[in-house]
Amino acid sequence: MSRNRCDWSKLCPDVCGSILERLSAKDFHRARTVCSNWYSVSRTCKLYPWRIQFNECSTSLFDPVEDKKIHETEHPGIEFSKSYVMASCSNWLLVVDFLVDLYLLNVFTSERISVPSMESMFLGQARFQGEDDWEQFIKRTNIASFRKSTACLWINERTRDYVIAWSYKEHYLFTYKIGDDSWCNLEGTQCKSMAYKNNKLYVYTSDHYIKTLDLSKNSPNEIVEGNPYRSHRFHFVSKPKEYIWKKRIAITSSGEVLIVVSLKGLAEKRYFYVFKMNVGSGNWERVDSLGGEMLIFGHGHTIRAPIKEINGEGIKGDSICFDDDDLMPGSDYLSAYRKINCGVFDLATSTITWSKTLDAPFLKSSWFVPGYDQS
Amino acid sequence: MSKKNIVLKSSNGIIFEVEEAVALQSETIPYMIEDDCANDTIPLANVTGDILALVIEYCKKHVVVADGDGGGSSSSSQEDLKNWDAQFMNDLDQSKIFNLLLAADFLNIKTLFDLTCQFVADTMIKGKSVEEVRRTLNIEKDYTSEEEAKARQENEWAFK
Repeated sequence: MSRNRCDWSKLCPDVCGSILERLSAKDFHRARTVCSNWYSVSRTCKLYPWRIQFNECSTSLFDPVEDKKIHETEHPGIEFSKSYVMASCSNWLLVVDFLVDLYLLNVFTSERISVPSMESMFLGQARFQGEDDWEQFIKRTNIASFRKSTACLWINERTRDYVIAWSYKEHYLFTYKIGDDSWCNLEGTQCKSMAYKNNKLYVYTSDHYIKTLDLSKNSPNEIVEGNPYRSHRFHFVSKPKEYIWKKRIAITSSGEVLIVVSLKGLAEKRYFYVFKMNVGSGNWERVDSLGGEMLIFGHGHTIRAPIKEINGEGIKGDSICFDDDDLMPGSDYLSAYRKINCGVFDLATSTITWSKTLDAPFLKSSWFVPGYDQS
Repeated sequence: MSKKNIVLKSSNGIIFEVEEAVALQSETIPYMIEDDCANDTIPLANVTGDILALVIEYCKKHVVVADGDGGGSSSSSQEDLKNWDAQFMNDLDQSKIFNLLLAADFLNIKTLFDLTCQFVADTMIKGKSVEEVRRTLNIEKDYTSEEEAKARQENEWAFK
């Protein structure tokens, strides 16, 4: 190793990554383009979450590290009150509108990527059983019914390759990968929650098993060999007066599957539990740490926590970012004064830090990870 | 009872004798002691004398001194340490910072590694344009303008 020259572009990946991860998102996304080595290192860096607030036709994006800067984006032609954001990945949202049209929307530029219409499912191989008329389906379907569906999106910002999976009424699981002729329908998958990582779709089924589907081929097929989760049912006995609201799966950086449960207990206390399977015994065990990482409830993968805790926002390692829909409604649910907000749950102390919001009214607030660029 | 000392030898043969508590802030050195117990001197083939002197200066300042009551207390207050760290980094030129970063990584001294990374991020990258970072750190653009434009396009918002 030469001691006289200092070549910052040749820093070893760990050291380079450690510097890049200390930057705010804006500085990070600029710095990664400095040279090819930094660019490739940056793809292994984990990024912290931002908050997104939906207004009628625009979005406001908040970087918690630079709390005075707000990125406002107008989205002409979109009415968020009549649309539903099914999933997000990197700078993109998967949106379904009141005509049951699906598209991807970039939160910074408002660019849209259209997705093959679901009407094509009626014509193609992926048919809804007993729903032979698209017009009838639209009439019976509204945005509220999409709230019960689960979806996941993966996109590569550079190549614009993307994968969408969404499940309707738990019975239908539709997948679409860029380049496919049409949607694939994996009927009867019983999907309650899903996560996507490295060409694999992890599905939490309504009978509490985890199936893994390989999406790298032309049509999805289940991976049976070497899937330790397939034969070990998730089982959790809640305490009296403790109610389970939602269950979601998430994949850690090292590829372990987590089951994250949103609950309500005594005195309306709302909290989350995280479970990990003990590969030796096959038992699902509760854990109180995410190994220093954090996650966004429903996003299907763990993300980096900022190196330092962000002032008063609660965003730190071993915490869970959630939005209003992720918590079981409390008794104030119908109150006109109830503030719709999102927050962060600290696993170590079981406490919630609510996010600071602007005074102006908004429709909904949730989390996303800008520029998330991992396979 | 006399305190145990450890002898460190830099890549260019300079010898430093330090108290064990100072040296053990490095998580690498204990392994070297175990591996090389017959020899009293620990050779550090990756660290030159001037950089090792800086590392030792930092470790001496940050050593936790065990007081007479058996409890541990820091040799300086937290606030003083922070100011000292800032001054310590500010006095270094870029080549020293670079080599200190590598030494902190190699010797596995977490607080020094964090301090150096944060200093680089805050003073050499933060708030700067891509061109300014390249100029500051003397980095050559090693891909085509087309590739650069493509990489930039992924998060165009960060360039506004």
